[in-house]
Amino acid sequence: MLGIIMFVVALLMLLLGFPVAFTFAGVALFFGVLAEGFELFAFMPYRIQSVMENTILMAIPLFIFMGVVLQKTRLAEQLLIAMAQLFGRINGGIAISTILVGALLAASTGVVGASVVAMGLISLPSMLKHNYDKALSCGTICASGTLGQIIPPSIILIILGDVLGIPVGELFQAAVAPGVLLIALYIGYILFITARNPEKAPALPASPESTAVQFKQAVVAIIPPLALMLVVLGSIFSGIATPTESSALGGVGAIILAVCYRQFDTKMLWESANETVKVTAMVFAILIGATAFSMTFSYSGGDHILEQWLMNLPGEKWGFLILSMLVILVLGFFIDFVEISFIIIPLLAPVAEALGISMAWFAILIAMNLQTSFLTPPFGFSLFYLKGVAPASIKTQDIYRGVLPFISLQIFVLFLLLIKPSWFGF
Amino acid sequence: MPLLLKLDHCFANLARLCGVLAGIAMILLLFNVFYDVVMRYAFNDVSIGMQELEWHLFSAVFLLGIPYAIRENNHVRVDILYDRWSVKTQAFINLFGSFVFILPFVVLVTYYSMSFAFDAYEMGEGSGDPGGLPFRWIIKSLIPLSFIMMGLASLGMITSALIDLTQPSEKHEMPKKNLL
Repeated sequence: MLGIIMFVVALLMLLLGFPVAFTFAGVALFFGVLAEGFELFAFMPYRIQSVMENTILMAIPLFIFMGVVLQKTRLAEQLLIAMAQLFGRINGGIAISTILVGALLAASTGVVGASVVAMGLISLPSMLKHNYDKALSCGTICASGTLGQIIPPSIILIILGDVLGIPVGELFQAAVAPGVLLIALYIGYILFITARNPEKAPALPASPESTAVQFKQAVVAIIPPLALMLVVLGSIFSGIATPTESSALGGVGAIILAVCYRQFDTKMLWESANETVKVTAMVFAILIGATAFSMTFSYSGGDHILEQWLMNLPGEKWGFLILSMLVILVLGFFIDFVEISFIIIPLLAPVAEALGISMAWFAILIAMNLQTSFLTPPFGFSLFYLKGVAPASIKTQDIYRGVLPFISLQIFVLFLLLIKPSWFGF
Repeated sequence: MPLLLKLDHCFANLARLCGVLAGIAMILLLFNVFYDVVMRYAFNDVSIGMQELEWHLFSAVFLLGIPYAIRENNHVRVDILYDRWSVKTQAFINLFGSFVFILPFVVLVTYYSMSFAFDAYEMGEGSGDPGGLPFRWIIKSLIPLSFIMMGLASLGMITSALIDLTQPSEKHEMPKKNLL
């Protein structure tokens, strides 16, 4: 019972706004000492050591580094400009090109914030200039930028692979089909809207440049991310390299690209390393806090109570799946995917296993579900990023209204995944 | 209250030092892993020592990065309410959190990890694999070191909060969060 009380207290304490990692650690300490005495925390160094030796998690800083370097080479900017020119002359063209660029960036870097910011700075002004509907523009950008969450390589899949004990490469492969479906649905949605209301996303007037020139520019811009994608995902999918190894290949590849684009210098390398350190520290602090928390939780018997309760839900497997998806969806409104993955998922995992649920399927369901947390008002990360760079004429309301259809599409794919796993190869 | 400012400055510099070390470890980690991949596939040559160095560097990245990120205010907060509160209220929260959440945890883990590292030293623990790295106590000492630096960084959080409470106009060095 103590464990359950601790859980509630921790959630309430989070509302104070003190860093999540330490709030969990502090609450765990208080209850852990109450239940078992100080000795319980003698295990902490061993737990930390097992994180230190975890080569799967090592891929996280390396992939983040790759993303930061690519961001600094302004690759996203070039891609966006070139693709918008190519597609601009059809209705909804800039929106479609934004989605395609989002997909490409997702498959090569997977850093959500950087994609949304780049699109907000480049695609948004251009969409607004050509009289695109504000909400549609904002929604497209937030949704496209967030694709990095589900399309491999992505940090969330690495974390889920580690927490659920599934090979990360396998998860990356499993995420491809739902990711592609999501992209197709986004584009389909834009086509549908422009067919009904062309004035929401009008075509651009013909540009002075010939189509051949535009095509060449697009190809030049598309080669670098495509090459990186091939190196990183290709080496993983063909079984040549582990995700961690391929993340290092990607990191060095990104540096080589930066050199080719004449964007590389020691300052840029240092800034990239520094930013990587900050994000990595944020993720691993939560992991350490969560470790202390789940240790106390299981010693106080909280996990048994929870497990029994979850095992005896009506509808067994389906009751559990629906409840856990709802819980993750709702928690996603308030806390982000790192906390959910490290704290909530380990509680659900043993039950899922006991109920005979395929863990890879469960992982992809969670990843798809967590993706919506990036878009759900009022605390979705992508919304903040876009608001941060959008011109003053964009109201928060526009962004909220814009993401709603895309959230519905995500939930639709989640639903399909849930009822028709065989369509996605599970 | 120049003493408070001086102290705050001192804690900030210590955290920044951790950040620099973690950054260096990050770059070394990238090339370390890259080197190992290339050696393995191109020359079929695996060095256990180099492979163990990977996780040594990886540990340094996050263990030293955490105290640095405390100072840089990069750790995620649930900011539903926090962002709406005044600077003074936020300062109170940070004071409370440092004393109640961070410091006790840091003290306890430092205490246990010191004996954890010391045992490795006394036993002369090294890698279990042939060709592995010796002196396991060095990397194990990084745990207490990291937690001590976390403690100092949270003292820095306290000094920053006290500055906010006593002289709100004073500029101190707690930057806003900048997440990726």
